Order: sequence, then structure tokens, then C-alpha cells
Amino acid sequence: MRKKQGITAGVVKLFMWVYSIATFAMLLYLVYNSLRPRTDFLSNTFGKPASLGLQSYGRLITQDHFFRYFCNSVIILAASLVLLILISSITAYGIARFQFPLKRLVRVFFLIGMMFPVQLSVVPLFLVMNNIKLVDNPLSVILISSAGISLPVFMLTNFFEKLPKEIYESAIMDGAGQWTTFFRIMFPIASPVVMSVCITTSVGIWNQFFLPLIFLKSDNNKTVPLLVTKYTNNLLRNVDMSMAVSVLSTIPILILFIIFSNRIIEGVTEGAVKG
Amino acid sequence: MKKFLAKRPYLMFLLPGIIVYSVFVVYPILSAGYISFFRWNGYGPKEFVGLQNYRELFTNVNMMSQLGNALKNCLTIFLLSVIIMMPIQIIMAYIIHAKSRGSGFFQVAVFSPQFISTPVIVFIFTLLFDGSFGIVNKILRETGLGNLARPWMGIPEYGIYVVWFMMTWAGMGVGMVYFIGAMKMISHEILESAYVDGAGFWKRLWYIVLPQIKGTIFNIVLTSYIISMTVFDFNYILGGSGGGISGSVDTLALMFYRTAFGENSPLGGKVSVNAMGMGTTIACVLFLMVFVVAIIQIILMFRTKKED
Amino acid sequence: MKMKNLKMMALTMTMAVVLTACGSKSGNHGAASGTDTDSSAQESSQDSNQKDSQDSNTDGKEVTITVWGEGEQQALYGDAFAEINAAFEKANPDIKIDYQWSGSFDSLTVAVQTDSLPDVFYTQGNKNTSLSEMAANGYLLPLDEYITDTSRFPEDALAYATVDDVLYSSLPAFFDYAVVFYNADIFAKYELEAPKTWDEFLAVCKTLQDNGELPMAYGGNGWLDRYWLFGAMAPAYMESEMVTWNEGGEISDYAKVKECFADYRAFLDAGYAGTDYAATDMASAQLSFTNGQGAMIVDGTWNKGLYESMNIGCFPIPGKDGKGYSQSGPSQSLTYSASAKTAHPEAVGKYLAFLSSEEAEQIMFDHVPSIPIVDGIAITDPVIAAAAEYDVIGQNLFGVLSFAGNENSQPADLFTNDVLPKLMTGEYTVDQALELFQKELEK
Repeated sequence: MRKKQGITAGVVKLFMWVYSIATFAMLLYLVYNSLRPRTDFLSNTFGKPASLGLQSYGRLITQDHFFRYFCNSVIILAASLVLLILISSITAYGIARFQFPLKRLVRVFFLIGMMFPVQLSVVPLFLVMNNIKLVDNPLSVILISSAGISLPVFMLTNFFEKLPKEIYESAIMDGAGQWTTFFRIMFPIASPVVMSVCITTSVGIWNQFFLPLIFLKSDNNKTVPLLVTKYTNNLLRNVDMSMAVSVLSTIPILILFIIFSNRIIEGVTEGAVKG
Repeated sequence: MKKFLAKRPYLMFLLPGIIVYSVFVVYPILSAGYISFFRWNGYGPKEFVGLQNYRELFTNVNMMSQLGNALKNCLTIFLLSVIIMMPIQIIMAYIIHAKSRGSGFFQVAVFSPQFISTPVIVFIFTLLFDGSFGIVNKILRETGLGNLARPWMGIPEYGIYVVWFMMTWAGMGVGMVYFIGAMKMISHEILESAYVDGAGFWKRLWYIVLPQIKGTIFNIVLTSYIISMTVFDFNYILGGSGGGISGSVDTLALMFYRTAFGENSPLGGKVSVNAMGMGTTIACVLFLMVFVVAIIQIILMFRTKKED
Repeated sequence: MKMKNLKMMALTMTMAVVLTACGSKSGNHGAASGTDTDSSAQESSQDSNQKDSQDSNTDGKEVTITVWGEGEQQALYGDAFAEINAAFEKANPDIKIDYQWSGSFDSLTVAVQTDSLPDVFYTQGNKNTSLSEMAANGYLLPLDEYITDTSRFPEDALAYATVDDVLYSSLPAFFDYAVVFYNADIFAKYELEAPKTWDEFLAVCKTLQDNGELPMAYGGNGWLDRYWLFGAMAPAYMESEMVTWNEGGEISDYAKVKECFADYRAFLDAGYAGTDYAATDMASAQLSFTNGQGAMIVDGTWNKGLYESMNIGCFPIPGKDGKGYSQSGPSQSLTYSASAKTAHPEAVGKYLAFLSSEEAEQIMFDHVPSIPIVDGIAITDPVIAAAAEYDVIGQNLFGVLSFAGNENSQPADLFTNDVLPKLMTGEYTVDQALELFQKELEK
């Protein structure tokens, strides 16, 4: 119910509307510019466009084989995400629900990953991948991405700790084993947070540029960000393609996000709140 | 074996993560840390020098001033994020969580900039905010507010704020999504009863929601700290590997990159004699700075938890 | 709730499976890097993919070599290299080129450190220290026995590719430098011509300014952007000083350096670059120019493509002596080195020799015109022809300063990050800037 929210709420909501619309306007501006031919944009940047057309998109799809890069990105994203969520959930659960020696050390251990620039780690990683012959194979990127569990473990541990003990205890008393308890009961309850983790790590994995640059060599295996940088390296000279490729790389994942975020809004019924 | 595991069920849960993480995350860090004890330019032979790189980093005036400047910039970003961005995220999350009209639109709109690649974000901001060319200034001039027009993107002292602004615009959605998830976990009976008791919209936020999501707030503060210390993309694009005029947008990660890989450009460049050695040293120092503060924050959190 | 979760997991896994299928399908259609015009390039990469990136030498006949092109310039050189590679493969049917646009500074560094350099990779020659470092440490294949005909190339080109008298990379046939592009329409409007001396240049600026035009669009916000104007002026003032620095020597008289600083400052003070240049970056300056809001811009000939649709002319920065000065900067479009550990030195040698040949050079010129330093290339582009009208190839200031540094001094850094920006904004006077600069060089 939205009745008693008052003026402050109104002001805040107004701000949010303004912010959202401004952001959307910027995105639309991006799309609009991607429809303009390059010469038009360069000579008449803020004026009325001479023509609008989808020629940049056409080139992206046919000549640059955009769809191929897109498939690669999606595969890597999906596989990494599944692995990552699995590993980080069970790790977080393990830390949160059990008592064992060196527990705090383990928590800190998992935090280390976030604090180190990836460019340095890449040389030893490359050696490892080279040894198991996974260079130029998307699996290398998938494995490394799914090892980025620091942030998810950190967030999830906190939530698993908060889950009420009663549910856990009643499940155990009912004779469920550790794993069953986890999968059927605890994990589903934490799903809003798992969803959040999914979404935020998706962004990181989808946009990541450095790992594919180093590990994916042949054109068959490359991902969308590499195609984006092909044009954004010299943004102004390739301004029409840069805009188009940015739009194309944003829209699909945005749609995915819309689908998944609806589940957050609908969410767990126990968590719904009345305004 | 089975008995061993049965007595220690936590191992089942922890081992996969530990194995994957150690191979792909910890081992590279240790390996890089090892290099910091050498003098190496990346190509030739390595020369073991023990702690000399660290000593040099802290005694060399030039390096220390770069380090200090970069650190200052990182901390500025951190403070701005925590003081300004985070409360906005919480409030936005609360409003969306309350399913006000337009929540769906808000969520998508706030989150969408995440997906746009950084050079394009910088370019869009340039188109908007450029001093002579940008749309914002154009509008100001056309509506007679011309004297408010500024070269927003260009003033060196404000460079770091521009970086922060772009980071915030792109990253607003991330924290917000976490807060929404956290709010979902709050038992709705408590809020129901508060509502019935007559507590207003904002009172509920302050007295009920906030304490419940204290854990998440802390997490976000910590991650903001880590992100601020390791930010790289935006300031690299804005300032090049040199970090802008007088290092106005220099950050620790950028300083590391500049030292380890040298300044390179189409004009040529130079890799210094001790590029990799010193570079990894900086990275290790950066890591320690983040690590130590993170530990302190966690200890503080544990302490307050015990007091609960 | 758990059903929803499981459903979602199932959904993602199905997607993954379906898309793996689609991925392999499009993979089988063959890969081509960049935009392609020829199908033979496609087949070669497909072959090498299926061979698990192991160069096969089964019957000793067909050989595949892996080449790393300059990833950053993929959009620019894509078409040119597709054609070059096709021509090479036609002439050498037993050699296949797997050309990947994966070369970048980062990936090369990783490759060196993990001992996994590809057969051939692009290089910046002696413009930076990596060529000499790699050669000194045995990473490169000496090329003297493969590239035998070097007579067509001038001294500069050979110097670019040689370390200690051994040739380590294919030779550059072009060079690019920073010229002054001007908007021919605006010039025609005021009946102006390309100036031949520095004073004429200032006069042109004044005329433009008096008529309310912005004489020069100048991006003062980025280090590279701000550098071009000064870098272009440098040879006109201090050529001999730069030569001395390049050889590691020291100069005794800084008068000409001071003059350069002073004239630079005077140019800005007269308002010829407008008032907002400190906050404008190169992209904005370029956009201003393309929108007709600046009559001139200092930019590199490599960026000529940006201004294609406009009616432009160009001229090299004129010195006070009436000569046009360019700055040396051999183009790295065709310069590639080979790994010492390549399994196919013969094939690699042939490829690199081809890149140094007239045929490859002409192909490159047709796609990306720039100023040739060898004979035999027909210059069809009028703008490039105008840019080729320089009188002296001057030194490249940034390169010179990089080499002039040593353990204790970094003149290149100091100049780009401190002296030049503060001189530009007026924070340093000419004397202060000169003093700092001098001190650093004398360390």
C-alpha cells in the first residue's frame, strides 16, 4: 500500500524518476547515434541527422559475424555462472553453518582474490593453461571466471548465517542428509541474494575483456568485448560502428536482466514488504 | 574416509571452492609476490634483491609522491562512494522494494549503464559535458544560464570527481541490487506490525530496515573500499597511463600498470629497467593496503556482532 | 520456490547446450579476422583451429604460421591484411597464414614471459626499447638471410629494424607524422593558402581570428593530445639539439629550446587555439574540426581517414626558415618480427620478406594511404601528396626524450606530465619550464 508515504517520499521518487529517465535518455542517445552514418555524425554532431539507418548493424552482423562472438560470450557466461554459483554457494554455506577451527582464517582466505590486479595474475595463469593445453579454448576463461568467488562467497556467507536455525534443525531431525538440506531447503530460501549475486557477477563476466584477450586467440573463440574494443580503440574514427556494437552488446544482456530481475521483484513471498 | 568426512561435514562444502580458488587465484598471487623480490624488466634475467624493491619504493621521493597521490585519489573515491552513493542506493532499493509505481522501470534504468563498455561511457560523457562542445553547456547557454557553463570534464582538480561520477553512474545498480536482495530477506511480519503500529514510511526504513541490513551495508562498504582501491578503467581512459595532469586521476592500479608495463604509445615508449620487479612490488603493497584494512573492518564487524 | 530455482538452472544449462551447438555451427563456417574479402583466408584459420593449434608438418608440405597483428588497429588494417595474406598464400600455396588480431602490448608481454610467442608478431621496432630487449635476450629470429634486398629502404627504415647490425623485423615502408590539417572551405573563404614560414602561419591564424573563426582546434586535456602541436614544432626549432639527445649527449646552449617554448606559449596567448583548450580533449577538438568550428587541427596523417568526408588540405609545420618539418615516425603497419623458437623459419622468412616487398606495400597504401619512404609507390591521394611535401624529416621529440633518460632521470615523463601541461596552462612561465626541463636532462 502506498498511502502514507508523505512528501519526502514524493521528492525521492521524483529524483528517481529524473535519474532513470536521464539514464534512459542517454541510452537512447547512444542508440540514436548508432543509426547515423559516420560522416553525418562527424560533420553535424548536434544537428539534425541527414539520414538514419541500420547499416552499421548490418555490417556488424554480416561482416563481423557478431552472432558468433555473441554465442561465445553467452556460453562462457552461462557456464561460468553455473559453476561460480555452485561453488560459491556451497563454500559460503560451509563457512556459515558449521563450526570448525580456523573459520575466520578461511573467510579471509577467500577475500584475497578481490584485492589483486588481474594483469599480474595472468602470467602464472597462462602457464597453467598452457600446460593443460587449454589456451585458445573458452574453457580456460570459464575456469578462471568461475574461480572469482571472493565477492559471492563474502556476500552469501553473511546471508547463510542469518538463516533461522529452526528450519535447519527440523530438516536434520526429519532425517535429511547435509546435502539434501542444503539443496532443497537452505539454498532456495537464500535465492534473492543468489539472484543478486548472479546478476552482478554476470555483468563482470560479460564485460570482461582482459582474460579473453590473453586466452582466446583465434577469431572463432573471441567474445563480444573484444569486438567492441576493435572499434572503440579508435572510437572517433569508427564512431558509427562503435556506437552500434555498444548497443548490440548491451541490449541482449539487458533483456536477460529484465527477465531475471522480475523474479526479484516478485520474489520470495515471505520477504515482500508493504510500502 | 567416509567417517572422516562424516565427522567434518563442512569439508564437503569447502573443498571444491578451496581447490579451484587456490589454483586459479591464490597461486598466481603468490607467484607474482615472488617476483617482487627480484629486479626484472620483463625480458631478461631476474636478479634477486630481497626487500630492496620495497625499500626503494618507500624511500624514493618520486615514487612515494606518486604513491601518496594515487592513494589520496583512491580514498577520495572511496569516501564519496560511501557517503553519497551508498545512501542513494539504499533509498532507491527501499523504494523499489516497496513496489512503488515504476519500480520495474527504475531497476532496469539504474542498472543498465553497467553493461556499456567503459570507452563508450567516457565518450557519452564527453559529448554531454565537454566544455565547448557538450550538450549540457549548449543548453545552459541557450537558456541564458551561460555563465554557469564550465569545462566540466577538463579541470584537472576535478578530474577525480569526474571519474567518480562516471563510476557511480555505471555502478549504481550493483549495490542497489544487493540491497534489494537484502531487504527481501527481512521478515515481512516485522514490517507489517510496524505499519499497523503507525510507523511512517521513513521511520520504517530507519528503525527497522536499516538495522536488519546492517550486514549488507558493511559488505558494501568493504567492497566499495576494495573497488576504490583497484579502480582502473575510467581513469586510464581519461588520463592515460600517466594519470592525467599532475596525476590528477592517478590511482594505485594505474600506477602499478604504468610501472610494470611502461608507458607505451604510438610514439614509442620505454620499459624501465626494473619494470616487473617494481610493478609487482607496487601490486603487493596495494594488496597489503587493501588486505589490512579489510581485516580491520571485518574484526570490527565481528566485535559489534558479538555485542548484539 | 525451489522449483523456480531449478527451472532457472535448467534454463541456463539448456541455453548453454543449444548455444554450444550454434557456436560450433558458426565455427564450421570458417573464421576470418577483421572484415574479409577473400575466402582463402577463411579456410586457413579453420584448418589451424582444427589442428589443435599445433603446426603440422606431416608430409613436410603444408605449413601454417601464426601471426599476431596489431589488435588495436584491427579496424584500420583489416582489409589491407586480408588482401596481403591472400596474395601471399596465392604465391606460396604451401604456406597458410593464421592471422589473428591478438597482438597487443599486454598479450605480447605475457607471451614473452611465458615463452609462448607466436611465429610472427607485430613490433614497434626501435621506437621503443622492447625490440632491443627482446633481441638481446634471444627471443627474436635474425632475419638477414631472409630479407635480402634492403636497398630500396632509407637509413631510417633500416635503423628502425636493426639491433646491433642484425635485422630483426620487416622493414617499414611508410611513415606518419603530425601535420596541420586545414579546412579548405574556410581557407578558400578568406583566400588563404598553406603557409610556408612560421610567420606566414601566424598571419593566417590572425586573419582567421579577426574574422571570428577559431584558428586551431586544440585538445589540451590529454597528454598525447596536447603533445602533438609541440611535437610538430620541435624539429623546426631544435633539430640539432634533439639529435644530440638521441645519442645520449648533452647540449650546452638551450637558446633554441627556449625559443620553441616561448613561441608555443605565444601562440596560445594570442588566442589562436581559443580559450577552452585546456579542458578540451582530442576527441572534442576533432569533433569541432569536423563540425567546421575550427579552421585547423594538428593531427597525425594516420588519422586522415577521420576527415575523409571533408574538403581538407594539409601542410607540415613550417619553420622560420621556410622549410617544412616533419617528425620521423616509421609506420608500424608492416613491421613484424619472428620468434626465435618458431618451427618454420623458412616460411616465416618468406612472409616477412613479402611484407617488405613492393607488392605488399602497394596493397597497404591502397587501403591506408600514408607517406611512403621508398620509391615506387604511386601517391594517388592529394592530401598525402601535400603531406609528403616536407623538406626535412625531423626527430621525434618523445622518442628522443625516452632515449635520453637514464636511471635517475625521466625527461620524457617530466616533459609530458609536468612541463608541457603547466607551460600550456601558464602555470609555469617559459623560464621556469625551461629550467625544470634543463635540470632533468642534465642529470
